[in-house]
Amino acid sequence: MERKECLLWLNSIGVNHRQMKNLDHYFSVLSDVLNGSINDLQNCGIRSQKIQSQIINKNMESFNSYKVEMKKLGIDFMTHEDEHYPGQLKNIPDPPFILYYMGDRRCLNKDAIGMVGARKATPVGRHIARDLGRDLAKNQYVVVSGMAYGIDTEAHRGAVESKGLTIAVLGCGLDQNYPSHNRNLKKELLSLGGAIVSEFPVGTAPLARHFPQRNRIISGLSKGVIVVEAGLKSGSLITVDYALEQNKDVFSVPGSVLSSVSEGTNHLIKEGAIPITDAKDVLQYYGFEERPEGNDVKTFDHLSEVEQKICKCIMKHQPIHTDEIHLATRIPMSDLLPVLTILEIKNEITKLNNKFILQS
Amino acid sequence: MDASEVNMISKIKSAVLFGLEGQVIDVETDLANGLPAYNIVGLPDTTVKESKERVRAAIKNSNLDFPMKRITLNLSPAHTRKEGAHFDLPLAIGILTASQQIKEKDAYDFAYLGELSLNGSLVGIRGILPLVITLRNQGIRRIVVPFDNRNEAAIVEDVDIYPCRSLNEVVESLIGNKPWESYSIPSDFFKQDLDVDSSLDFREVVGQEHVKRAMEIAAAGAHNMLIIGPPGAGKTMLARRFPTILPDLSYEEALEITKIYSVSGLLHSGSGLMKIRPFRSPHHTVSSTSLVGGGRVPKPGEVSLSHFGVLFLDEFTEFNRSALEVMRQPMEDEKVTISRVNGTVTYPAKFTLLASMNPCPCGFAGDMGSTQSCTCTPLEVKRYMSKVSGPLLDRIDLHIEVSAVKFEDLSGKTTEGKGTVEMKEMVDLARTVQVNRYKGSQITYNSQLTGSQFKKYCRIDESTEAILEQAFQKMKMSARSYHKVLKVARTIADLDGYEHIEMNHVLEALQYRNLDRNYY
Repeated sequence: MERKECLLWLNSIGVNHRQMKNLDHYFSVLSDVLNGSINDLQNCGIRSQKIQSQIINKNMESFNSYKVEMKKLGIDFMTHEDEHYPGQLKNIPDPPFILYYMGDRRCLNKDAIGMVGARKATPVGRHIARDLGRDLAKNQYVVVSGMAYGIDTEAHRGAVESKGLTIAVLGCGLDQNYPSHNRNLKKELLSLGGAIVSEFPVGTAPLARHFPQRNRIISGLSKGVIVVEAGLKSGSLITVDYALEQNKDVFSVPGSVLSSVSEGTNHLIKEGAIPITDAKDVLQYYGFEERPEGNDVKTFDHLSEVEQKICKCIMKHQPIHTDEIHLATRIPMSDLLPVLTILEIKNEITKLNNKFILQS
Repeated sequence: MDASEVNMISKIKSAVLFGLEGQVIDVETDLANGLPAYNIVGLPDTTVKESKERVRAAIKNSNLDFPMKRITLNLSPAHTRKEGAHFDLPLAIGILTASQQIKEKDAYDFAYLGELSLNGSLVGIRGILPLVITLRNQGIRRIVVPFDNRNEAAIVEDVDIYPCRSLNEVVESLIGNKPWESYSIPSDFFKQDLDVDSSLDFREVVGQEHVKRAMEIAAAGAHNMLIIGPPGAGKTMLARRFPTILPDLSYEEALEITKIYSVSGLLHSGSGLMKIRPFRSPHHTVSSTSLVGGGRVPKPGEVSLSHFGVLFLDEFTEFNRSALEVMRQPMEDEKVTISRVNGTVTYPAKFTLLASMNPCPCGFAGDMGSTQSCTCTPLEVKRYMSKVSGPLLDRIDLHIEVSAVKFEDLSGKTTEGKGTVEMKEMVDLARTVQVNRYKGSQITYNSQLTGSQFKKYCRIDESTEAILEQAFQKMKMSARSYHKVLKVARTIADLDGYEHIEMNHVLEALQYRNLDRNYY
């Protein structure tokens, strides 16, 4: 059996990365594993009877139906020896042997920035992640993240918003409908030329213990990783560990010292991560001047006097509640509310949980 | 002469209630020779059956004779169920008349209502107001009632009320020893209310001008409202002040409310017409029956007790789903119909709904001003918000989010906001406009607008229509919200004194559809 096929087959029956490494060292030619004994397998760390019997019995039928299944779902794969295998990923200490992918594999070789963060992100954090995703993608960076609830989803959404490229790395099989509410997001990113990848075989459930493993791929594919919000014990910090191991840059968005979801990010900055507040900081770090979008500085000259007054007030205190705008500007409530609606329609401001902020 | 000439059957007038509707009852008493017996017929329920013993003791203890005869009391008509403790007095008078301790022609002048205690004193009863109204409507103009019920009974016009403290007093007057004196409510009688403390004022609420404005709108157009906010934001405090800006009750409205409270036994002894709109705030563990009404003898539920007033459901999401479901029909029909074997009882239920809830399970979602941040996962938040969905939410026109008040606001650095007096003034004006506008039509308030009425009363010009469409797209609202926005805009225009809805009014109305936006 060819090495490429063999790798796929072993992965499909559930041989994990560590076991695969052992097998690769143990047998001079990987396909020799077909002739291996149970003892050999045990020596390589394969203790599961199920996997052992699969290997011993050389059950090719199920492998064939596995490949058929893959084709049906539009899932392709590459091994770490493939010419298309992403260069960045090849250079990490422990590159995955197999990378399943859906979508356009070319984006895997483009310049990418990873973004991770808390699942229980605050609305502010999500907003920032969205902005970052959008602006990075707009400036030709591929946005890499994990498609999880919270920061990850917003990062992908932002990239999709500016019709850019984004890669989702999953901690489960590519066939799994997880997270369920991101089904459309997945479709969208694929249609724009992005990709969804995983080193886990088709049919693998999204178990918690898979996520650290997949995090190394997020940082592995990127030039640098941005942490938007993270608690002190967040899984995102594991991604940071991998990034450091892989010699990648680590960026962190500072947050309120009273916010628990910023404890991790603030800590990272203390430890030496690069503090950033927007995509421009990242772009400049890599020596890339941002393409100016017309007016960078926020001016309100095109607005009416009342509108300007309100916008300036929001800019100063954002995020700000309607009542506070009323107190600060002294505009009567029944006059203030209509103007707020107009400003929203004009996209000058937006409402985030009943508080207003300037639309960037 | 034969026995038939000696007319020992007396016929005393009283009444019975079925819900808020009453029926005149003739209490017939027959004394026959034979072994002493004492029976009540005519479908008396347990309370009425027990009257027997109370009546006997009361008569004896009033130093009157209890006849040792075969006594049969019939409550006519016989096919309806009789309930209530107020038959004691008419039964007693019936026996006294039949045994000729009172002359018929004296007794037949009046109708009688009242419960007797064993020593003969007259005890106040519930439901006096609708009972008296029933008798008055049947042409009975003189009614004897317990002393405690005098102020409630005297509300009714065209009727003479004679409050008495005991059976003795009644008898003394009937036999002519004491003159009858009809009772009228003293002009300085302070018409009290229940449930609403008139010392509450919106001026006491610091900041929160946005909610105050929303409440102004809700009060003016009778719109239902949902308040979303973290614990400590003052949702309950605001809700309690809402009734203070509602327009004064008309006489008819006050009468209807007093009837309901009378029947529920919620009027304090000695109290008269209820003058302030009710405010009901049931705990979220309330049962469907308590909420909507029911019981073996159907009693009004919270929705009826808040008739012409406010029903406040605090912690809306904690309420039993099935209990809330049951509210749908009354909100649609503005009344509650309860069926029993004997017939159907209808209680009116035209109330304004105020509901409050937290923005997420832990209560602090999105409240970036406070030191506590939300600890809920997006899924938890989504699930929580989805509880607030469906038909009940569909009836709520205004959504407003409040945030916790900051300390500097509490310490008085801010200027004083609007108070009850100014807000009520505006509400009254807007209400008057509506009364005039909808005269002759089926509806009274803007919140009741439906279907083709929108075309008639809520026209907007092209540019406003265009802005509305833009806003809908930007804020991701659905078609359902369209009419709600128009209704609210109509009320805002009324508050503003405008006959036609202007763009400003629509723009403001859009700020009250928070739940339609897809935040979560």
